[in-house]
Amino acid sequence: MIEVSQLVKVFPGPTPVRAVDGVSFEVHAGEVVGLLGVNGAGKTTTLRMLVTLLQPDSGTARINGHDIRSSPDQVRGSLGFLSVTTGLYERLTAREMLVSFGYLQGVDDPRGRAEALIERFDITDFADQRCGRLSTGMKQKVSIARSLVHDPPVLILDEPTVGLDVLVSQSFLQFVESARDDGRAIIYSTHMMSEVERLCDRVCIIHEGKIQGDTTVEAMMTQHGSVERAFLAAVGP
Amino acid sequence: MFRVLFLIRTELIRALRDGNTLLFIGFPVLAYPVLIWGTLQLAMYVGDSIDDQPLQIVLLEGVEPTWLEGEPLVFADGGVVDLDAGRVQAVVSSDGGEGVEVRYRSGSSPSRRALGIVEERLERHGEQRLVNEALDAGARESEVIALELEIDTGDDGAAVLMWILGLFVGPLSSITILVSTLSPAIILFVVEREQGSLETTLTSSASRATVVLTRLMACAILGAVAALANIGALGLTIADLALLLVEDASTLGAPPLTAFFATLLLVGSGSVVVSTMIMLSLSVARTFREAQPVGSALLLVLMFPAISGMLGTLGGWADRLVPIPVAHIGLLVDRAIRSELTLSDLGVALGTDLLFVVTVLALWRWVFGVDSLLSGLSRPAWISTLLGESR
Repeated sequence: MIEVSQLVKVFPGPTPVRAVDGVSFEVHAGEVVGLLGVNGAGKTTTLRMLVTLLQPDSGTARINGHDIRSSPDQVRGSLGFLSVTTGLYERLTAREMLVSFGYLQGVDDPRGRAEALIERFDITDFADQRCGRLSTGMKQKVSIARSLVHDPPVLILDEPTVGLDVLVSQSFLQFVESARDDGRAIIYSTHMMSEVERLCDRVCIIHEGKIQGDTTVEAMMTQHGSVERAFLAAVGP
Repeated sequence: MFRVLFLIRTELIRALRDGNTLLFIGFPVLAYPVLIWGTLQLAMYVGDSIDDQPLQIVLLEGVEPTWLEGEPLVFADGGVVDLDAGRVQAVVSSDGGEGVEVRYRSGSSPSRRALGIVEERLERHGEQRLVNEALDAGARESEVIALELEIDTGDDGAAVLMWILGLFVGPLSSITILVSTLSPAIILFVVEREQGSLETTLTSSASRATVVLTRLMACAILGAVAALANIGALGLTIADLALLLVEDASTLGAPPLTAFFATLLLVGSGSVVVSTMIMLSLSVARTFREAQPVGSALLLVLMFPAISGMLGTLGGWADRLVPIPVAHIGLLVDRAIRSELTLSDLGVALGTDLLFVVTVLALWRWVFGVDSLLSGLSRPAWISTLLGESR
């Protein structure tokens, strides 16, 4: 479903930064793969290349069979992207937001799809309120619905629980589990080890732009006792 | 196509829900009724003051007095020619032929009223005469207007009003487009970068060109609507003033329907040009705070072509502006309202607008790429350092 092959991204400048340096991994349908790394390790840059917000300098990736370099529009049509920085249109209502994204994504019946998502994510009570006036939890629900408006087979989640309270976080984790059960391929980037242990089937540890380890959570637990210890063993001094 | 139209509608909703956009579009429409009310109050006040004053018209030698007889004129003969002191409102003398000369103070309402009475009497008596400038007889040069009036036609006031309308409608419509387009452009292009909603849009399967097009068209539509509202409000204001202040204004009638369509085309096309320029300029701004000085600087630059139509009309070189985008908006809208716009002028204007937009966008795409219109231009390192930005 997701095949990443030797991705490289260098940010130019007086001292060029090799943010991503030959990253490769795969994610299959119905699988959640955690992307772990310290700040500046290259996680977000990798994900931004996968969602075609950034162009790789070399290497490529295929999402649902579409190449990120040659078919960026099709790639974006195959994935739902949710990150801490993906905002909502503050002056649109939740319903208007979902319908307009339905049109943006080329969904056949945007209004019908929006209504279905409003019901599924329990948005009905605030569907006609402007997004700018919603609470963080309400916004998160709308964001999740927005990322699923075109029913993508791939989800890319970049630190999606940052800033959420415990209840909203729990609700979000349940959504990820149900998305996995639906057969979607999911990349889950986070600093929260407990979330990795609960959600992920496999973990890719990225450090200084390179993949330092790609193994199952089960193997990590067996070898190190916890994901946190496995992570520290991989990136520690 | 329906998808694009719906997305344009969404962008319009987003822009219209911002108070700044509504203010920029609504202000002219609200301002003109206030202006007309104020003008009428002033006119009534001045009129009352004028009516209280006795008029004094001096007849010089050679003028038959019979046609000026009757109240409220006070006649004086010879010697008392003192326009400067304000005691005499007009001086009438023979020009040696069939006409007469009337000297009056252009800056004085009583003096103009005296001129009107002289003209009325002349007309009533069927006198064929010419009103020429008069610089002697005590009036200062700056206070005397030299006019050559054909009293029989009786349409001078209306013509002057149309001239005023043409003079102001040009720059006002251009400036309204500039101001009204800037606010939605900042919301749709810059504020999104700041809030992160742009990233959400860019991860959708819509092409970058579609996203740019929908935002550009939303800005252009708002600019055009504001300009049309502005032209309409200005036209109605001047028409109302004309009916109140100029006796023969009703003979002017409404502009023809073709003028409306021509105006629509010119304003719409001009809005696309202005929106394009604003969109390109805002690609250097990443925050609302950065967008404000960038937008203001662009407005100052575009102000020159916006007012050039007025200058061209006054200076007699307006025809040279027809192929210049932005500069021709007001000029040709004025001609359309007067039914003087030719198809060739309209074609040249729309053609040059289209050529300008296509060329500029193609060059931009070639040099910077379409993404830069949405994500913003990459900054040189020294600017980023200056602004204290990190990667």
